[in-house]
Amino acid sequence: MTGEIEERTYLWQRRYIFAVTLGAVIMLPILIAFLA
Amino acid sequence: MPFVYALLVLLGILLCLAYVACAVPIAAIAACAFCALGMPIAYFTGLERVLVGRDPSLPSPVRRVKLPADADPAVPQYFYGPALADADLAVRIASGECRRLCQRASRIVGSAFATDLPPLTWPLGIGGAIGMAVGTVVGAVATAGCACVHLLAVGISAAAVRAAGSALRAADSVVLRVKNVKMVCPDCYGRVPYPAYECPGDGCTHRHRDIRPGRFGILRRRCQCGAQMKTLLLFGSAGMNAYCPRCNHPLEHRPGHAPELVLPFFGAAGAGKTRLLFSMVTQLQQWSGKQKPAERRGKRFAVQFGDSTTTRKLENADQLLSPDIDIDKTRTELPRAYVIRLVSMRRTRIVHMFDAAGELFYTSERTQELGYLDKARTFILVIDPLSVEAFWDRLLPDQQGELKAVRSAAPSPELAYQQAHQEIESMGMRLRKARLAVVFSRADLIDTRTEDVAIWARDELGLGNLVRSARLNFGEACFFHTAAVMTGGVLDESIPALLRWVLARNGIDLPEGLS
Repeated sequence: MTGEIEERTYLWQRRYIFAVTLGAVIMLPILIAFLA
Repeated sequence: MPFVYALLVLLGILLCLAYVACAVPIAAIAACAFCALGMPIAYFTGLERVLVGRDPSLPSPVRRVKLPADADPAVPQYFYGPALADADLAVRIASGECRRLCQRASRIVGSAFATDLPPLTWPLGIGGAIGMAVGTVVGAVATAGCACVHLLAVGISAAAVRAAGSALRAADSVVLRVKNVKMVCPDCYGRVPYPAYECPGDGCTHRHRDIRPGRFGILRRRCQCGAQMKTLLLFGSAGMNAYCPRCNHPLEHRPGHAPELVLPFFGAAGAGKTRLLFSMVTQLQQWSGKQKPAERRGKRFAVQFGDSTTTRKLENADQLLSPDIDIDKTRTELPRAYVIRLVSMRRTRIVHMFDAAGELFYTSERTQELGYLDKARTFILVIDPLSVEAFWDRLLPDQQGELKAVRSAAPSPELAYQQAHQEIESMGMRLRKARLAVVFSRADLIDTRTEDVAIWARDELGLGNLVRSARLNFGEACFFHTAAVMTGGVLDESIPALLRWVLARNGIDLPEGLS
């Protein structure tokens, strides 16, 4: 029960971290290339 | 002919060299790309499994959030531990994925050296091995970069969340300070820094001692039963069932949204403290009920009992104010506050009225137990003029005969005053910042024969020392002679006068023109 509640509680935070990491990894080389 | 053979051999060698020259770099590039791109992709696949897919076959995280044994029964906020546990698990899974990727690449490269056509496959194997080595290094660097970005995202988010939590806590404290909200428990008399709350979930009895933003949530927290709770009074947490975090008694008056005023009544036993309190409450109720609709729109004044105990004890207060009714003696146990909510001009005040038995003011030990005394800024001392020996002795025998039944048999009123006065000071309170209303009861039975009650008390009652001490020690002292009786549904005008003096300085606008 507690596990289910934790899964529900952390759902958007986990997705947020994944999206931010993926976005940063994609954008970082582009940004570096642009600045260079 | 030999020339032709030589040419063919040379051509063959050239073709072989060309094959090697093409096969090795192509295999190397392919292997390098496979490893260099595959490892970060493997990392993100692992990350996706941990953070998004929540694959049931995931291993249990090695790192777990450890909470103290007495922690609140709530789910920890993600960035207060679980995020690091997730990062740890993601790195473990991703490293496993990368290892499997490298093993797969090694198997493919190794198979090139174990075929029936070595000249054809060896260059591929050599190129693959070189490419794999380079690709593994590049892939490891790229994967480490991805892991750094991931950990950085977790770290920055955690720092931002914690900073937001601290800022919200500070903002809430500032708002409470600006609104001058200092909460007091009506049972244990302690200052309540922040109320504890019961989970609002159906059937859940979990209690949360400190719901403010922190390790269990910033804007909201989730109880272990799954119900959500607001974390700050700013966000409306006052709507939940509150408890004193010290004594666990319920705070039914929902503290935290309005300033609280502690109003202690003190004086000798039988002085008329309870009757005075009842009459003051009745007067407030009459003001609340007497207002015309037009007045209510502009200057709404309402009185509500703050909790069920107060309601039970005070709802029939007006019926006990007849001169013919004797109010029961107050029990000598520590008093619980009568909690009353006053709403005027959109401002709300919560008044805690403490009515302790007079016996509690006779000895230092008992008075020290009244921990609410140092929370008050306005005190009400009640004195029965008939209890003053000098005054009683001057009464005519007929008068003594009439008043004997109502006379308080308590010791001199100065004893209770001095005792309370000394204890309040010993509690560290600066009396120069406090106000004292000295109320002489039984105005319905005794006439002061003078406008100035203080002069009457000094000259007629012989309480000059008490009058001087009250004026000297307290920031402000005012003297009243009240009749706490109701005749024909009307209270004596001395009660509204006392109420106005007591409440006016505390931001409570009482209705004008109503006695």
